[in-house]
Amino acid sequence: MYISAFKKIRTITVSNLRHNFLPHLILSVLLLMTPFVFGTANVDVKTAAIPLEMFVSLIGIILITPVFLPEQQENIRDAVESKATSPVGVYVIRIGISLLTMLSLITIFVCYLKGNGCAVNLTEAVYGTFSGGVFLGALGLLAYSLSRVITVGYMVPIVYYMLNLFGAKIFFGNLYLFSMSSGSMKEKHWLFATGLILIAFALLIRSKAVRLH
Amino acid sequence: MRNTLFFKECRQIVRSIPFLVYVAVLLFFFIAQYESDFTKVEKPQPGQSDYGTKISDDLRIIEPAAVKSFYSEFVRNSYTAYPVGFYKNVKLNAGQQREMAGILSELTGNPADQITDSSISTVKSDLTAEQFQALMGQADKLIGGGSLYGDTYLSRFGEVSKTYEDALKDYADIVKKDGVTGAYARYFCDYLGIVLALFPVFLAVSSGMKDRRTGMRDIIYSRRASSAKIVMTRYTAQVTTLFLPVILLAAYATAQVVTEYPDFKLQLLAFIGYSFGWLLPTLMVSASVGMILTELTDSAVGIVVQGLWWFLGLFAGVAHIDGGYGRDLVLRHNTVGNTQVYLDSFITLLWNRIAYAVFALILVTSAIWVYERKRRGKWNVYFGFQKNPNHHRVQSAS
Repeated sequence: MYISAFKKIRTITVSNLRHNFLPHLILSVLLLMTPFVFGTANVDVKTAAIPLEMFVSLIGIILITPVFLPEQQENIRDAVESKATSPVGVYVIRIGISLLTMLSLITIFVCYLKGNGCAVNLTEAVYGTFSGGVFLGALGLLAYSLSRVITVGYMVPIVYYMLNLFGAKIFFGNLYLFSMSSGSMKEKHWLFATGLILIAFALLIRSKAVRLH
Repeated sequence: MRNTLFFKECRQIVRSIPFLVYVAVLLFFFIAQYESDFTKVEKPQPGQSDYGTKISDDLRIIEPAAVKSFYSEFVRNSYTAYPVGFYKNVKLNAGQQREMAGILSELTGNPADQITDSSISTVKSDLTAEQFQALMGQADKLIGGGSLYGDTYLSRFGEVSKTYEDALKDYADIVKKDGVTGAYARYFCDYLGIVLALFPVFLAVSSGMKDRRTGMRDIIYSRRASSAKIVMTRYTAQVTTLFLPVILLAAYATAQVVTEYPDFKLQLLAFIGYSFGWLLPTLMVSASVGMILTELTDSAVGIVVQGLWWFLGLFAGVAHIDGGYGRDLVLRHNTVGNTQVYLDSFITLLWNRIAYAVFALILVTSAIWVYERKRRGKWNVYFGFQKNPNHHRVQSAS
């Protein structure tokens, strides 16, 4: 039974990596290259947090938001729902792959910063960037599950990001995206926890939609 | 009858969620950024304590100020830089600091081993302008580019206080050359341009992907209408509907200025004119990038491409935020006034806008070509990502 479940997970994972995930992974890697445009050598902790929070955390939108995208066409959705494996289980595996990939990419990037003479704390930098990515991606995932339009899924976290960029910090409270650059990590716990809750909501909405369908 | 498709597209766009979000963001920027900063430009009076500042190109002002700042950053080993507009604080290693000491020594004429003496902050008397520029360039290179000593920011050390006469001339330029409204219209375009360089791409991508999502693509492909007509109508509908809220806000902003300046001779069409000349090419580019990339890839990759362009362009534009322009898609003019800067850079601005409008039309023409090929079944959009020859080897999850 255990082997059967393991095989199933492996099959879903391989299938996702082959058919859905690769373009998003390539885009995320390209996005990670962008901070090199303005140089990342010899910077202090707060300066290093700027590319991490402003660029690297955006990969959350690329990796998490389109998790439901393969089923956007009705006929594919019907085919998936007719299978014995619960669609929600498939989504959970896909989200897990996205989160693990994001964590790996962020860790590689932070290690590169550290090796390049930047005064960063590895654990804090990875966690801070990851929580921002989880929150933005989860916001997109929820928007997509509610609207069923992928562009809305991308639009909502980008609007939130833009408002953080141009608006005052005070409006966003504990869900402010760029706190690490000003030396605060408290907001990162909130972003991480809220991100997980939003993912759970998105899954709930999706599973209810499946049942109603 | 002839325009049925156009109006149908417009109706679909204005009823879509991305359009509503776009209008909300546009309103937010107008209210929170433009309107909240709206202040009446008053005529300067003699004897005021402050008339603002201006940038002088006098090297006698720039050189000592730059060397003083350089010295202060050297002592703290903390160099400020804005590569691509991003703030960055750079700490150099011992070898690089020694090189910096050498540069400072050449600038001040003092030996490198005495460079930590706080009295050294003046420029060597026989230093030529070329030598000064070259030494500052070396320092900028060591810092990693984008520093206060590079070409972009060095001139800012020439900041001096304006005199009463300077302030009076600026005021006269706003009233006579800009007809008041022109000065506000540039400020209006500065903020709305930020939104228009990004959000149209969402509408374009959404519209392009809708046919596939709803399974309507094959039906549209089989219609008699030409590819050029379908793509151009869709693009025109997007540009028109997205530009309409801008025109409404321009009209409102005009009324606002008219109310504030009842006794002035105003250019009543300035906001509308600036919107067409300054903002429309930005909107056209953003929408056309979304359109061509969606046709090419059948994915939302256009959002990522335009998003990156917007993001990098926005920060790079900070270098000339008060006017001066250049090759930016998002043109910045974050001040009411600076009329002379605008007039001096008008030709650059004009070519910039023409080039972007032409670029947008080239992208739309390319989209027509791609659409036609797809219609004829001659375009594989997946580049092998999804048409995997090993597909049959993957076991079903069920």
